[in-house]
Amino acid sequence: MKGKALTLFYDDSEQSRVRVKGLLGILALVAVFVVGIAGGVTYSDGAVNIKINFFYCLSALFSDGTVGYNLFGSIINIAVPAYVSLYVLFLFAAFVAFTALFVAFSVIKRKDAVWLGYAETAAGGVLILFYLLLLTCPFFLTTDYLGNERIFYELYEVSVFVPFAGLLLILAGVVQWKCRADTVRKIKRYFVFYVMLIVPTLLVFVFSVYPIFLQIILSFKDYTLADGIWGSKWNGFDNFVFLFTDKQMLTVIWQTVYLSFLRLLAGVIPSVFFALVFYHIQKRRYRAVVQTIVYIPHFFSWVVIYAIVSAFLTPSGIINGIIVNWFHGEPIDFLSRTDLFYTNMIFTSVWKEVGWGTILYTASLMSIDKSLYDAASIDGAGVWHKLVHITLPEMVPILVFQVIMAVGSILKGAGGEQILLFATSAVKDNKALVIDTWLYWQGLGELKYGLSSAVSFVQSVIGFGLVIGSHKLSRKLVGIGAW
Amino acid sequence: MIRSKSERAFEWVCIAVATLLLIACLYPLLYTFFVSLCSEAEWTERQGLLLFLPSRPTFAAYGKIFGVGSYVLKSLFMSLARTLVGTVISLALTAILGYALTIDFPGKKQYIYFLLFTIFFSGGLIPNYLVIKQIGLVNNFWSLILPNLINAWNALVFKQFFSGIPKEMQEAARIDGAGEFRLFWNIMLPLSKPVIASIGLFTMVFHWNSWFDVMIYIDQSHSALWTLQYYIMINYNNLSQIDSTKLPNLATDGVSQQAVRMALTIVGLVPILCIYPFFQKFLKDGVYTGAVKG
Repeated sequence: MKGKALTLFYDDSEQSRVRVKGLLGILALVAVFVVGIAGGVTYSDGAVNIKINFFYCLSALFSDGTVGYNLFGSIINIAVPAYVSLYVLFLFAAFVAFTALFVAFSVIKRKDAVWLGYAETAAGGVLILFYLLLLTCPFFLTTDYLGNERIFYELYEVSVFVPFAGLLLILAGVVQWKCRADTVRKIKRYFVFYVMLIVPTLLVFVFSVYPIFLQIILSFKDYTLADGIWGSKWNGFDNFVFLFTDKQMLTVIWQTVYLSFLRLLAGVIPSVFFALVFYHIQKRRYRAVVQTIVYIPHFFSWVVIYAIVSAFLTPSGIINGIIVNWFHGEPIDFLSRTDLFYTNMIFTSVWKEVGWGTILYTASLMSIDKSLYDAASIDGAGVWHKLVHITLPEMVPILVFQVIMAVGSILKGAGGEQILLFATSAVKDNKALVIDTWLYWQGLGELKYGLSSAVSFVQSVIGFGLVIGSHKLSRKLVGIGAW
Repeated sequence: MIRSKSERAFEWVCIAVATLLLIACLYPLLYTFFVSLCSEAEWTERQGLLLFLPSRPTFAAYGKIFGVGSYVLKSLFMSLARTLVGTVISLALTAILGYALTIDFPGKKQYIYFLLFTIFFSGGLIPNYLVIKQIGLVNNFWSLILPNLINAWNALVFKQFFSGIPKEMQEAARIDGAGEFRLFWNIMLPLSKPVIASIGLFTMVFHWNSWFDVMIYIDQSHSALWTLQYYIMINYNNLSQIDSTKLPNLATDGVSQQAVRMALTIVGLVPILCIYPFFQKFLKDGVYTGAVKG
């Protein structure tokens, strides 16, 4: 068993390298084939929802362009447009042709076939291009089972496996024409690491890349539940225009920025203060105990924090207990007061995060050269002078880094999770609306999928730009990057 | 270090301020615990002003929430299952990914850029929900696990740590005939306890504390899949879209409602307090490299 496959991998001759390359190409083609089989088109028209796999699409070519389906006992004929059948034919033909050519050139004749790589990349490109056309173009027409003429994308959903197959083809092609001898040698040597990447990459594709794809599609559509993601009408930039002109949306964006900014201040200032306080405690044991304990609230969920806060601030809570019993005042319902809404949130998040926030600053303080203080003492500097002239300047880089990075997440840093818990019905439609809560209450709750996707698309694009920009800026200014 | 009198005085001021923060962080937890021990009679008697241990502490509230057919017990089990399954699989996959990224295989640079892109560019709430729905994971336990398995950022932290392990050790093992998986398992992992511990802690805490995904992916008809945090949340939140008439109410006879709620809160935070000491010693170095260097 240890024979052929292994010798193939350890044999380092030019011929074997070409063969490995050919095998890699065939491997990618097999993946394309599997994807092709798993894929298909879905016909959905109101209650009729039928998945037609690609083999049926092909068979339609030979039976007057329709496939028969048994719908509640009666046979209906669904027209599969010729261009779809031809498209599928192209997919399979490309697969068969490329596999045959690879076997012929790389495995049998052992010649490096660079042009095959170009052809493969081009085929992948055509596949994706045509997929996008089917998805967006109103010129592709078809008829539904009642005989009415309809736009293809409103009636059919093409399986997302198709563009994925296109990507694989392009990748396989690039491997063919970009990999020189030493790269192939490395691929052989590190083969096992590519195997390690398979599962994580699949998960990332399903749960990160595919949602981004859906997000981009949906943000240019007027989503309705009946038509679904693929069948809903395209509405150009309407969602984006609405997002930047509608009064409520602008308020939502403004409040997100405002709250993020408040949180930035509330996150930095108390933590810096307490980091300095800890730094000036020489009793190491005590300092370690305090630090260990003040980190704890960071690890609690907002649910637990809310429960604890409510035990303090509700009319039957301890603060009102003190107000009523000791000062004979009127109880204040802190958590229901709309004017205190932001205050409550900011103060509780300070309580949760202040200790944890010190960790970063403490670390930067620990790297200060202690002899600086001795020198200053000899020069007669007091506590205050040392603080201002030695300690604080040493903290500037990390502070700048923190502030810049916080600016980078200005559209995401409003703390949606906390707001969802703290919001009462009085603030739900005004003060509590930031992007993240809007997405949940109105986007998900009221099925504004298209607009929501546009919102999170903008959030991502701006966030992405800001993060990259702030990373570069921070690198340039203080030499600390985010990665 | 030379220290003047005023500096010593200043240190005492700092100690006092630090102690105030310590109390501010600790007392709310103690207070929560005190209230959970308070009987209804004593609660009314004191008119909500309970500063320390109640004079007749009782565990009745805990008895109530863990009583027969208890919802809390079920959701506690779900939380533990979620935390355990989610953390173990996620750690394994993320560590393997991080290890693979230490090797200069062709395409590695592009792959890391790809990962970074997925960190900073996310699909957003609605597309994520639609994906979960499309692959049929709504109302399924795995909807809480699968999307969180690969944390690209953690993989990069792993990579950073693995890169710091001397190459000679790996070469020696390779010469001795160890395969890559064996090398990973027998050499790399045992040397990486700090980073495994800190990422493990954060993953556990993340899973234990999550409730938002339960709220969107699991509806009321599948309440057996609710986790503890979500259960606590719906007991408080008047905005949660839950038909509270159909909720199994927590029996509150003999103990005050406040005591029951606080007992619930204590159950929600005690596991965190329990694992915290084990990870505490790893927090300083492991987390710090993660936080600053990525």
